[in-house]
Amino acid sequence: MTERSIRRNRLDQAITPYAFITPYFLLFALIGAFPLLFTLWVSLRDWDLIGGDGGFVGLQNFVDVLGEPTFWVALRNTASIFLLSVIPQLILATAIAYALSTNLRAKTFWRMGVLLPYVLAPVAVTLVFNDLFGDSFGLINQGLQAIGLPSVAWHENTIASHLAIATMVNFRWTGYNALILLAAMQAVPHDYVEAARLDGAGPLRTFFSITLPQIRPTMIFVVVTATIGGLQIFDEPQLFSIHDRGGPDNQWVTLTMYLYNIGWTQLNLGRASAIAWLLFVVIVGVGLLNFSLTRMLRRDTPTSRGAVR
Amino acid sequence: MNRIGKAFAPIAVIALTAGVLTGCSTAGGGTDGGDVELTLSTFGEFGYEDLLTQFEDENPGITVTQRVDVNGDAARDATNTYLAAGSGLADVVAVESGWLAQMMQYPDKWTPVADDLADRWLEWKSAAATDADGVIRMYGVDAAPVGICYNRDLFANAGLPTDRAEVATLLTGDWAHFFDVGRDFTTKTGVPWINASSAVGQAQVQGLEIAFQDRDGEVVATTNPDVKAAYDLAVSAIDVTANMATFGEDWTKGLGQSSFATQICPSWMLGIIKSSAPDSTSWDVAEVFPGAGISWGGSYLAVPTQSEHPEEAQKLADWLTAPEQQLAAFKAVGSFPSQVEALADDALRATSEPFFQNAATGEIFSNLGTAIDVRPYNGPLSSQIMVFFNDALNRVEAGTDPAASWSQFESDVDSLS
Repeated sequence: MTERSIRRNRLDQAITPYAFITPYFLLFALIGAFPLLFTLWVSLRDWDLIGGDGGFVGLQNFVDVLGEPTFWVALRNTASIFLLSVIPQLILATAIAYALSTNLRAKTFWRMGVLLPYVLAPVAVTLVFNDLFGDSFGLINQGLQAIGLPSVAWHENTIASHLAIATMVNFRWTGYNALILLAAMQAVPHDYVEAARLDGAGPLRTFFSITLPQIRPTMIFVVVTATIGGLQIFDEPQLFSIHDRGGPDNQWVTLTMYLYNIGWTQLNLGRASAIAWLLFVVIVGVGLLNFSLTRMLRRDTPTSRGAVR
Repeated sequence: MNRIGKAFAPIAVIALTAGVLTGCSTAGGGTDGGDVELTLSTFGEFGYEDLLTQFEDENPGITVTQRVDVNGDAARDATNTYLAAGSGLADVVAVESGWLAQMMQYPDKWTPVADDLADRWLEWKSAAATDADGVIRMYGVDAAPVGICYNRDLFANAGLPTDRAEVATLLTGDWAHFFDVGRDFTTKTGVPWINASSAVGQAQVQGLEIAFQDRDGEVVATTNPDVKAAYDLAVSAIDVTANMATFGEDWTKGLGQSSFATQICPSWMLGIIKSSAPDSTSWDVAEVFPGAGISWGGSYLAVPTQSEHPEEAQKLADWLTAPEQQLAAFKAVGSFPSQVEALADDALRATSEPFFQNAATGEIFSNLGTAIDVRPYNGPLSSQIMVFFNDALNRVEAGTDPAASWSQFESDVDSLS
């Protein structure tokens, strides 16, 4: 090989990797960074959704939003619906994944089955659930009344509305998360499990001492994606009652719904952009929390412990 | 790959891409001599289904697809979104009078209505859709006089008259009288008298010339004593309401389940009741309204300038709002004409509605329409404030203290500015 071709080869090695990852960064700049910065710019201006720019107003939009009780109610609702959905969802998904990882008959059928709710259009699912959670004529309330119990005011009581919405979210995402966790469980080295069995550990003990510690990184991934999705929740609460957009008392207004109401009903895009940025800050905050959590868990290496005890 | 192949690869890629791109552009722009596909967006019931088939038959080469939103609020949000995006609006868009003023803030987003159509509509109807330069921007659809729909079977159970003339006599009077009758009814039967206090409150507000925003654009919602009076009256009715806000899920089902005895009925409500409770045989409509007569809602069709086929779209909007077609729509779903010629047509007064026990709806709503003195003014913010006003009453219905709910209404209205 000539010196020239070696040099060319080096240059190739130096540039090619970057060339390969460039499309991602170009795309990110286009659909990630640009909207982010543009939103920041809009948030500092008086901007009518249809009429357009009305001039610089400084931080006024942020002051308005933070001074608005509805914003804080929306933040509370988002957190509440998030917790009500993500915790049961993870527990259920882990249980389902563990069940699916055992020797089942017609494995593929069951695995595809849990993914089915994820494939359904969320709007269609919500319409069905709306029939379930109707206040006067809903299936659940009619069932409760039939056995002599008081009915639940799904669209009046704050917690009840959150539960109903969380149920729709869980229906959609549990199976999806279960499959991801299942993949992680199958990557757990069989030696560990075998060693534990030889030491006399039962299935429960094996699960808690081997499987769970081994899938922690995946678990954290699932938590992070669920966090981002949960904080941006929109479809389910928006469709929970098409009529009164979040409840007469803002019982189930989430941050994204609040953003939508301000921007697209009140046409105040400047203020909506301020909400978008505040939401961004909240998500980054929670994301950082998750990051530090991840680092903590890494230091606590599970592999050295698992099988021995 | 050989040398030549290597050299040609990028060229091949470029050629392919170019081919795809040009392929796209010809597919997108090619309408020469071909069919025109129009879209029409409406909400609730406009009664256009048969008319659109007729239009397609009479205009070969044009097909029309209708998109229907569940109610005016949903249609408003969708219209805002597409208007802001600059694309996505239907070629013909239905606009409700409540948020007409919001749309008229941007008159240049709508193509003008031909001058020779100016006298088609009642003066107040076209005036609301006329911009500062005197150009009409939207085609008037319906006027919406309001009567009272009632459930005959429930009335009979309570020993009340069921004949619509007798019901009209029974209910003639002010709102206090209307609720007195209602209280007797509810005491006897245990069934609520009317669907929701927000329906009562909204009807009151529709009877005010100036309610939430005055003609100078000033927001007066929280200082206007008439609005507070409407709120107080609606709150006073809470003991006879079913807590089923109009257009809610429960309301839609409640119509078919005899969950309440009366329903405030703008003419367009006939079609909605019919489609929500198709199996019901109990609903009837009486020529009476508590207090003074009002109109509630009523819509327009508009052709956005972003439409790719403005000529065909204008043709469709023109045709649909012509007197003859409006009469057909009235027959189908009760969309009561705002066109002068249609109002004078004998066919209008001859119209009756089988679903409402063959009530002479043409006669009833014509009479209700002539009795209206007040034309409410809606500002750009009116429709948004109406949402807050309904929320306030729905909160009270759910158990919130009326005074606390009112102060939340005040802060909601403040947040708009």
